[in-house]
Amino acid sequence: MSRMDKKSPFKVPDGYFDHFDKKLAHKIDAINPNSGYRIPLDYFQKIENQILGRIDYPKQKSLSYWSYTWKAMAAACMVALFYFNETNAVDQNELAEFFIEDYLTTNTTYEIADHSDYYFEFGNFIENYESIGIDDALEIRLYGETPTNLNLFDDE
Amino acid sequence: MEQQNQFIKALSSPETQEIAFKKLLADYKERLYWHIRKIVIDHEDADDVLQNTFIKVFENISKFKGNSNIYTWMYRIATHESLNFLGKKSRQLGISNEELIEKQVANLETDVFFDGDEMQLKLQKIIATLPEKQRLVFNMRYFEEMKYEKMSEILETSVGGLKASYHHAVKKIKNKINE
Repeated sequence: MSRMDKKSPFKVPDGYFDHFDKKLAHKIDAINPNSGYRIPLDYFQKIENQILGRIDYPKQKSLSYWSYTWKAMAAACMVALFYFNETNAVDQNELAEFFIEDYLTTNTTYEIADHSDYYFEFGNFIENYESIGIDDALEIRLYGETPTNLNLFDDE
Repeated sequence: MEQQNQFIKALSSPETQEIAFKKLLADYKERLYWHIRKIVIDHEDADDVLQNTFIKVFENISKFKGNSNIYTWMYRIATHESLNFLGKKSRQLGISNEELIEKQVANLETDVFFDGDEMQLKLQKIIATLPEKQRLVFNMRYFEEMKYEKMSEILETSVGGLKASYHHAVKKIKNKINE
């Protein structure tokens, strides 16, 4: 047994295995149940684009760097404005109270009676305050001065 | 199944659905086309139905429960779309479904997208004479070599019923070929 050549005595034609795939493919094509029906050239490539063109994908919500930055800046502005308004509102209220108190303590009852109701209306105090600006108003508060003695209300 | 669930998830998510749908299209367009083509016969009609099938798949992916294979589900949509298409077309032409199929097959003789030999044309003509269910079952079994179990899921018919349909179809075809 050991002296026997293990080399197979069976042979195949030259290039048999190289051509096998093609031959097999040809044979399969011949028995292909689809044969008979044909399709246009490149149909399956074209149909993909056609179908994809008809698909309406929902818009994605992407957070890019810039959109994120803009959103953050807008939010910061909103907070700042809110804070500023709130601060002003407190200042305005405090100043209005101060103006009334100051007016009542520094003017005599006769003087008060001489003035029109206009001066006592809360909204008008605010209007006066707004017309003179916040810096002036703070000065009034700090130095115990009134809008009247600072001659800020020239029209009165 | 886990892999399929992942894929369904990708199809439903706005971030990944475009890529996932492209893959679905690339993987199944040919198989679905040939299934549709056997039912509607004409290439232009098959093209319309194939497009509508994929649009339906895309629109309804969120409704897919994942109980069956996605391929089976798509096959079911393609079958319904094909039959609906034939129904609409026959109504438009004022003829029955059977008459429409016979007309479509008769057109194959001059169809540039059909180059079958005499025997293949004869076979198509005989298939066209079969009742709808038998025609479907025969095409799926004979041409697509689909297993009865899979066919049962797609056509929502028992395996026994499908085997009987196929048996009747083969018998009729054999008889007509030998005529």
